[in-house]
Amino acid sequence: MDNATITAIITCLITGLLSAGGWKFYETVLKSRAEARKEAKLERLAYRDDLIARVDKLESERGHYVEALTLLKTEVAALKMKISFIEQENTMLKLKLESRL
Amino acid sequence: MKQLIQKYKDILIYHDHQPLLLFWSISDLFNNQVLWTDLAFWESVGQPDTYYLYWVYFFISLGILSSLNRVEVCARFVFTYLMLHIFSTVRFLTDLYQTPDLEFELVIVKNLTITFIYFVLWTWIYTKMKKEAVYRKING
Repeated sequence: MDNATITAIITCLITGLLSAGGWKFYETVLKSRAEARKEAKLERLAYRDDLIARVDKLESERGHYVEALTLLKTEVAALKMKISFIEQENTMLKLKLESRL
Repeated sequence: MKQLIQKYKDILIYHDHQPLLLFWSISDLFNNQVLWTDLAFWESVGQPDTYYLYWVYFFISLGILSSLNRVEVCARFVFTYLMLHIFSTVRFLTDLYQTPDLEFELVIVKNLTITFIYFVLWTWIYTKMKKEAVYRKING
C-alpha cells in the first residue's frame, strides 16, 4: 500500500469514528430531551386526572347539598306558615283579652 | 435575491432526499464503469485498484436502491458511500501533494470543486437519514 492509500484509510477511520461518536452524543441528547418532555406530559396528565377527580367529588357534594337545601327550604316554608298562624292566633287572643278587660 | 436564498435554505432543511437518492443511485448504477469496462482496461491504464473501487461503488448503489424503505440500513450504505468518497478524495489530494513539480491546472480545480459539492451532497443526505433514523428510534 502506498502512502496516499494509508493516509486515505486513516482519514476515513478518524472521520468514521468521529461521526459515530457525534451521532451517539446527538442521540443521547435527543433521548434526554424526549424523556424530559415525557415527564412533563405525565405531570400534566396527573394534574388533569387530579382535577377530574376533584370535579367529580365536588359534583357529588353539590347534589347532596342541593337535596339538603331543598329540605331546608321546605321546612322554612312550613315554619313560616306556622309562625303566620301563630301570629294570627296571637292577635286574636290579644283582641279577646282586650275585649274582656 | 433574499427570497431565493431563503428558498435554497428551505429546500435544504425541509425537502426530502429520497427522490434524489433514488435517481442518483439508478444513475450511478448504470453509469458505473464495471458495466462498461473490464479489469484489463484499468490494468492497461495502470489503475487496477480503481476497477475494484468501482465494484464497491456498484454494490453500494445496489444496496441503497434495495434498502430505500429501511432508513437505518440505507443510512449505513450512504455512510459507506460517503466514506469511499472521502477515501478517493483524500487519496487524490495526497497524490497531488506528493507529485513533484505539479502544475495546478484548471481541470484539477474543477474536479476538486465538483468533489467538494458531492461531499456536501452526501453529507446532507446522510445527516437527513441519520436524523430520521434517530427520531424513529427514540419515538418508537
